[in-house]
Amino acid sequence: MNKDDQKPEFIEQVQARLDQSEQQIDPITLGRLRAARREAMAVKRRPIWQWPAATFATLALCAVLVNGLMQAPDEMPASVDLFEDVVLLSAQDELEMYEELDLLLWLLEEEENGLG
Amino acid sequence: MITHSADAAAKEAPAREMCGIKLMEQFLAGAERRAYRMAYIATGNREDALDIVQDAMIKLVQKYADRNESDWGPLFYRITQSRIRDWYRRNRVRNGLRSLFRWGDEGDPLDNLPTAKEWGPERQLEADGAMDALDIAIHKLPLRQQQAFLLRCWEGLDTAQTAETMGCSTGSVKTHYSRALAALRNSLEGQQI
Repeated sequence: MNKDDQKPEFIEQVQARLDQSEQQIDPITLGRLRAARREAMAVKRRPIWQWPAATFATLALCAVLVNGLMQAPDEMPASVDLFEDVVLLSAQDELEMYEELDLLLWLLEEEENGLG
Repeated sequence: MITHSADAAAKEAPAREMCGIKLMEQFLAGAERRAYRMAYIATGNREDALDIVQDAMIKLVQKYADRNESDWGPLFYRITQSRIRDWYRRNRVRNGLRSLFRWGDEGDPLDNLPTAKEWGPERQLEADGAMDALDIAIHKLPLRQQQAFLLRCWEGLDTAQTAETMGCSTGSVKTHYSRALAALRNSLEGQQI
């Protein structure tokens, strides 16, 4: 029997031994393989509400940002009021003028009533 | 009538998906042992082999579950072999036994990767404790020879399929396979397989 004739026999022996070894995996390893398979299948079965927390955190952040942008026009009047207050408060001279104007108006009222 | 067909199709869709999930689970149940053994022979330890198989399963389910059922086998082995190559690369870097910079002029670096047994006495002891003579002989082969041998001889892929799975040319597969066969015959000569 030459070398080439022996080759298939050798391969058959190897195949048979490898097949046999596949059936001799210990129960603990088999259990872990089953667990690994279930974990992999759970990825497929997992409904949207069980997506990873990071995905939800990203979605929530996007929702907050979009909501903020949508509501931005409603906040404009408040911003304008604040701007007007700042201008009035910073204009000290004008404020004094308003106070003096009130005094002059009171004096005029007193004169008209004949109390002056 | 059209609405009725649309309703029927809508009702059938989840049923089809459930059927697909069952088929995928059956496929994995049938393929996981062999994939594990291949990963175990390559890595020499159970934990790494289990990690490789689980990664391969997850990737197959996530990316290729919608593909034709007949594609799952070649895809699963391709992913598994790719994960094994990644494991070899990571270990090569981690152990620092050979400089990455020497790879430039040696062709395909995977051809010359050391076997897992060369990586240290602990791994060698772990391997020796749980492997038989054939496992050890295959384990001692360079990675590409291991892959070519196991895919051709055990998984029964032809040269072209093996080349696609390994990501190399058919010529390389033939070379790796014949070298693996010669090395195994040498190392197992006179031994009971």
